[in-house]
Amino acid sequence: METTISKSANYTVIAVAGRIDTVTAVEFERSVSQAFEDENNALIIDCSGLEYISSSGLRVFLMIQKKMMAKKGQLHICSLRPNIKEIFDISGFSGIFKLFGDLDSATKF
Amino acid sequence: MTAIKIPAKILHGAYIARITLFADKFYIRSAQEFVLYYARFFGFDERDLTKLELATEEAVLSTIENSFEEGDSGSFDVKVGYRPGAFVISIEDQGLPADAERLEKQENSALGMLLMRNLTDEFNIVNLGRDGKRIELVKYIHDTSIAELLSSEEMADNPDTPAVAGDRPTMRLIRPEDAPMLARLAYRVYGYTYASVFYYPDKLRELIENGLINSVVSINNEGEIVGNLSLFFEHQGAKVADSGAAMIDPRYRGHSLFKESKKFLQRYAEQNGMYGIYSEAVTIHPFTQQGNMSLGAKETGIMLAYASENLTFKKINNDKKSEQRQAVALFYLKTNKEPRRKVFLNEKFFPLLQMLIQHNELDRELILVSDNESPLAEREQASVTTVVKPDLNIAVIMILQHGADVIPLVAQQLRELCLKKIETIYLEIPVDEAYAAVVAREMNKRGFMLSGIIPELRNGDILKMQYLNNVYVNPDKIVMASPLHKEILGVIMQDYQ
Repeated sequence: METTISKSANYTVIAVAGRIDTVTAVEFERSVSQAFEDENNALIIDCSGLEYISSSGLRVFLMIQKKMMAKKGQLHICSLRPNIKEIFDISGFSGIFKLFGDLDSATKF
Repeated sequence: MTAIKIPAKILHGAYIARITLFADKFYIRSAQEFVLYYARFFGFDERDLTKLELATEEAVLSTIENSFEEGDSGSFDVKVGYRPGAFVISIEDQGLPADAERLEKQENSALGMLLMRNLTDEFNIVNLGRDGKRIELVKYIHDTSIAELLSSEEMADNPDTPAVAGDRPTMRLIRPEDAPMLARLAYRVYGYTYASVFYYPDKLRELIENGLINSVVSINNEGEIVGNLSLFFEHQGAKVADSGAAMIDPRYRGHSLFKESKKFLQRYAEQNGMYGIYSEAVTIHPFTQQGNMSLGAKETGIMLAYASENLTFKKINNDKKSEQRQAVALFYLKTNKEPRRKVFLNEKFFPLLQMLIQHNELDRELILVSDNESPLAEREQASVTTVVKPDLNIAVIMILQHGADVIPLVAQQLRELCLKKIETIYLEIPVDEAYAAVVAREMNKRGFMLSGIIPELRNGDILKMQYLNNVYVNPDKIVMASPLHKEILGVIMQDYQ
């Protein structure tokens, strides 16, 4: 699992690649925590490189959502591959998060 | 179907492979790699492999988190196995007890449970008593479907009544290579509403080769299979079999093929030392029941709400659906004398079951266990297994061996099946020891109604009970051909609420 964080004036993008499973979810959570340290209240998680996610990874997404809501920020998730989108659908997460087809549309807060 | 390279002897064993892992998250990946290695033999595509990989992670994680205390140095087994038409992953541990109902309510496990249920075709948590518990993940194998074999004419829903054929079909036992043609017949007779195995020639062929299905087929002058009646065996060499899958090509109705097929199988059973043949007859009309009785089959019970209301009979009822889940009438055709056995019955069911046993001329010593008696189980540990039939949305809980823990085990299975919204749950109780009467009595208090008696099913008779999970039954819509079946229905319905 790899995360790349890039910041612009209005939002922060976390690009995640590889697998978020029980073992790597901890590492993902740690990387994402850095994003909360900045002033941006708009966060995008770019999942174009995400290949696999388990319930442990989904819980981290939920935790991020809660933290963003607590600081009255917004979270957008984009570029889910079909197999990942299916997991979001099965788990009901598609209804909880704001999902976008690509990064460009996700940047419109 | 992708060629399976696993040797047949291993494929049909209790499991294909097993590994034991320490209960630590570090080993989740090892469990996944192990499962995927074997899953690839069965031709799953990448999408299904990912689902199996994820379901395995969730099952192993659930086991580690819920079966062991923090810091415990426990272990668990991962087994992969095969049963006709399905790849089965089992995660077994001997840690703390857990059940699906509790896990689904726990915050840390509910999401994993949801994923497991939705990523697999069947998901079960089986409590094994003192042997711990098993999480079972089942994925059906995609193989040749009848839809791929049918011509466009056959696929089209042609409502025209076919011309009645004039030739006289001949009968013989089925051969494995007949499976594709039999699948075509299944579609012609039932559309897509019949038990699924007949739509999958590869599965069917395998069951025939393994001696779990035998059939008499009727062949017309063109060499087509135009009639079928099957015997289903619980295991190879079983002394009794369930007859079913009666299929007559609409062009050959009125040729007495069903009756002749029954007689053929009756002779086969007599000559091969089988004790008898069971059959289930539909109750939306009386004809099948009358056909059974005319051959000497005797009434043994009724299974309420057995088949979906969607099960239609093309060309018999003008595709008319029944208005409720369909009941079936149970029959037993004795073909050879069975061994003398003791049968223990509870007070409430005794009068009816005594009548059925005598009516079927079974050589039995009947022992009444009255309601003020509470005999103990002969063993401490019970063996209980559950089979879910998704195509009918029913389940059968089978007590394979009585034990002191059998009642809570069955109650737990019942709870889990109800949570899965299984509509009808049958319970099979061996009646070869006095404790059987206690189990029948207790299960009756918990909502199981009487269904009937199944002679000689598992080296002895089985008492069958039934539980309706919010299923409406109107007895007036159940057509019973015989006075005895009407009487059985009346007794069963006394418990219906």
